[in-house]
Amino acid sequence: MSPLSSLLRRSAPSDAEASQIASARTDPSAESPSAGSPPAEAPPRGGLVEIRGVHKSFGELEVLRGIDLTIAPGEVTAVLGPSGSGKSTLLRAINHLEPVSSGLISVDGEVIGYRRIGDRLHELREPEVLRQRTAIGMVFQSFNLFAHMTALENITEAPRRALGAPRREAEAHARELLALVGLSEKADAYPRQLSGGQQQRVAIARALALRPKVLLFDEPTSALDPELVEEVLAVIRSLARAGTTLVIVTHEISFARDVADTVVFMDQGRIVEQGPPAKVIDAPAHERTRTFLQRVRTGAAPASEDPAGSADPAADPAPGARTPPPTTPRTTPEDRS
Amino acid sequence: MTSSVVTHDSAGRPVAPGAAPGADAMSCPPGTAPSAAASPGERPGAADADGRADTRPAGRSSLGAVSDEELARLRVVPARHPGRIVLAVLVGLLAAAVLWSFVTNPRWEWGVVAQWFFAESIIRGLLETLKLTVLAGAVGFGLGLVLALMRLSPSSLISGVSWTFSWIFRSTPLLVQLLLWYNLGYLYERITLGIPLTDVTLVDSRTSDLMTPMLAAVLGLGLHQAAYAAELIRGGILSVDQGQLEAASALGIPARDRSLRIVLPQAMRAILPTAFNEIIGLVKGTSIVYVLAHAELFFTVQLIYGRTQQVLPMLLVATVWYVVITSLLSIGQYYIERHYSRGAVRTLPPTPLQRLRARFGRRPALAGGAA
Repeated sequence: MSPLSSLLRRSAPSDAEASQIASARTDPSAESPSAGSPPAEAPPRGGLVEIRGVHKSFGELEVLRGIDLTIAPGEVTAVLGPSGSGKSTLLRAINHLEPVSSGLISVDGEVIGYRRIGDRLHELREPEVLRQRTAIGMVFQSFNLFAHMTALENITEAPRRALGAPRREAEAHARELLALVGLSEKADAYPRQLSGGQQQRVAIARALALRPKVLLFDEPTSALDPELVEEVLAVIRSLARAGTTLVIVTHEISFARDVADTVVFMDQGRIVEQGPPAKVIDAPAHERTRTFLQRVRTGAAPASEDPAGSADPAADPAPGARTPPPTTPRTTPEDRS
Repeated sequence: MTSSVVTHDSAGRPVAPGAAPGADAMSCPPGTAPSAAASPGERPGAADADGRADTRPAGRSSLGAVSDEELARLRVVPARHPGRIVLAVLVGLLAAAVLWSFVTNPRWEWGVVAQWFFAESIIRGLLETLKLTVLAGAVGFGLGLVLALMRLSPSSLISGVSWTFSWIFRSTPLLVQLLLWYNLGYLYERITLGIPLTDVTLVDSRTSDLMTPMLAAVLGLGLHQAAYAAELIRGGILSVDQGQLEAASALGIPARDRSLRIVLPQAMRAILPTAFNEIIGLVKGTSIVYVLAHAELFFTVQLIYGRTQQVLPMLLVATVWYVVITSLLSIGQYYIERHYSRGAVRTLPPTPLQRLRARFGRRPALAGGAA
């Protein structure tokens, strides 16, 4: 087993214990199994994410209009789409940061945010939602590191406060995670003393500290300078084969093609098409997907290569621009949908 | 003025004669050189401008023509500010004049000030003032924090209660509040605390026995302070980026830790300067308690000058003590603010003490003595 896999392993279930733990996870009173359990040789287990008929409205505006999606355990899913297509909202719905208006989302069969009794969905109280979230890590576009804490404190905060892990243990794990993202020497640095790329890598380590079954990335490189993007993508790439389920909202088309098992293209609150990258990115079936991909590619190429060159993608839909740009294809700097 | 601007605006315009090459190089910062070279490239006259740059090192030359020796020779001459010096002298003279009158005018009666400064009754009054400040400050900021959190509650009833509290206590004069608390016995003769519908009584006494001047003062000052503290703490909390809370809840951190460990420490940076303003105001604000005839510093001073008729020197005694307390608080404020600015700035500037040590540390002879 790779050292990475053992680092990310959520719990230490022997086969006999596995079912016990699975049932314990649905019991709110049970301690999270990851706290204090000794290391074992079981491979890390990704969570199964199921999304059924999810709608979400903000007032009049319906941002999600019936999303159905199944993400297999350990699979890497890239969600593409224009600004306002609802992809960030979908991601935030998975860990209940954004409660859905209707529909169901579950991780490993456990409904997120609600307890289903018969035909009724009883809203969970906050401590139970928080417990569910410890199994679902999230990395934000704007990093959101705790500004008054060092990198190490940022990483140990959640294990210590949410899972009650002892300080010594949390710090040891945090140092391993910092090494994993290549920032061992930055343990005592404050976020403001780090570059954007370094901050995002700390944020990834922070999300990993809870040994989540599912990791959500909300445009992890959109707030970064082009030359810092690759260091973050490299870290995500290294996680992709470690067994955790990854859901990545991104504008990095070439990265998505590289790393994703499934690419989902969203537009106006619906999934337009989904499938392996070879299909969705290289041979999209829908016109909407084609225009989006083309716009992202032609729009990004001049921005990263030649600042003086003609930068009007609408005026120049060059067929030669099929080759993906080496760095950041970005449409808009922000996509808060 | 600058040669680079001339090159930008019109390639054909002659440059002012007699411009020294050194001055030209100085006036064109290195960063502007590429744009100066690129911009004429879009115009027909570009070749012309470039050609002249080669033949004429002075005048419209681009920075490329500056030789290495020239660069090595260049020295920065700091700009002079004669107005600043004149102003500094004037302000210095004014300050000296004020100080001089303080020291030499016999009517200040510094001898009397010195005589009473450490007098036992004054020190007792001073301690009473400090006690009032600490108690009222604790009530004020403790309750203020609760009120601020209530105000941010999603329940409109809870936030409404907090709003109403602030509304009432900010809109009535402090003096009225103090007198109301002190005269509570007139409104409610007895105070009884017990469990309703049973015979259990925990407290039962005459209000006037309970309501000492001290209690009335702490309640009056504290509740008044709480109304203001609530608003300023709420302002600090609102100044913390929403993303911090979002990240904390995404990590499953419990609500209590989100407030106390994530949001409040960051809000402190916005809260502290105003909070110290309030506390310093409170130190001096305690003097209003003289209306309750409570023997704090100011009331003690009044008692003494009532007897001795040395009004101004006695007021000076109180004033100097207030200055001392305020100064100590200001020093405390500096270090506490510094503590909470961890992570908010890339590197903390050295403290005045550290700067002093660094200055003396440079001289080897003094280094041992300073440390």
